[in-house]
Amino acid sequence: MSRMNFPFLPVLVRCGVAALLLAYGIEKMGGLSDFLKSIHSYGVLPTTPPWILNLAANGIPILEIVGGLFLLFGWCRRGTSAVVALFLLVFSVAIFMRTLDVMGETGQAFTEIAFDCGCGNGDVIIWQKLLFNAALLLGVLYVGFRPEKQRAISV
Amino acid sequence: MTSPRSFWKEVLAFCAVALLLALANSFLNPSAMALGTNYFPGSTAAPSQAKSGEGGPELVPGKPQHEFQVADLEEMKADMAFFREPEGDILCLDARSPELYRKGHIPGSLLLDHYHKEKYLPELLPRLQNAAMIIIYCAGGDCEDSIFLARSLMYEHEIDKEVLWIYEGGMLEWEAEGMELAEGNTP
Repeated sequence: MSRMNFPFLPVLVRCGVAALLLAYGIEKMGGLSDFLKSIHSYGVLPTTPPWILNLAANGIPILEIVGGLFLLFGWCRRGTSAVVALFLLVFSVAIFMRTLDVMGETGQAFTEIAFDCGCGNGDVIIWQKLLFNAALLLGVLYVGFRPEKQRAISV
Repeated sequence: MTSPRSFWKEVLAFCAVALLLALANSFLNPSAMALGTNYFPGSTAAPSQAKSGEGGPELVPGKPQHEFQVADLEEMKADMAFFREPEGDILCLDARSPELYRKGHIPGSLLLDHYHKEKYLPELLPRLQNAAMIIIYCAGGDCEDSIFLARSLMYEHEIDKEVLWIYEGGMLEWEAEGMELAEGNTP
């Protein structure tokens, strides 16, 4: 059996995931009020007391930026990966729930739904966004939890 | 292999750094949301989740509900000349962001970004308190910033509800009707 090494794969995934998180965080930082409106529209967080929603708007972009930097430099790799993955999962579930609401209101099919999910890119097609989030989630978990000694793929 | 204990230490370390920086962002970044400000007064549910109670007003999907008087396009056309008067008591407020205001706004309208009111209110408040009519608009469509700004003026700054009007069509209708636009920072 021959063995083929992909020594750069972990580095590529790590850099890709970190770059995406940094880009999302920096983009949100440029429009915090828009992001606040987006997370308010999910109806997941209460509007009173107001600091919960406002801290989430101020803090989630920071979490993405810090998460990107920590994963890039390998600091607290597993812990960072777990928190970022949990955040991505919760956010994706919230997007899915809102999609169901929109479907109920408009009668549109799931594949036709598009709205500004607060992800930093304006209106997006939701099924594509959810698929992308799933891929990003797997990437984050791969960076954080890939086995240390198993870095070669058998072919 | 990392032990479970060191895993939780990593989780804690990451959360602590993120939380500290989030708090620093909240207090030091001038464009951050003020923690104590309710930017959505009168809102208890997300717009898409709002349900009409029995006997309540019939909700129109995509159209925000509110308690203020409504200005339509004809009203806006009729009042436009008054908006431009420097000391007039009929005012038009743009509740959108400064970037959108600069790109194009209703001539004579004054910028009062709902999410950074503290920057504009010291200068505007005396005029608002003496105004006979204040028409507020935002992007139009399902935009609610004009409504939240009106509620905030009413609850926090004691502006009489009777003088507060909402131009529901907003910039969406104004531009679609080919109406005159002003650009830049001046009304």
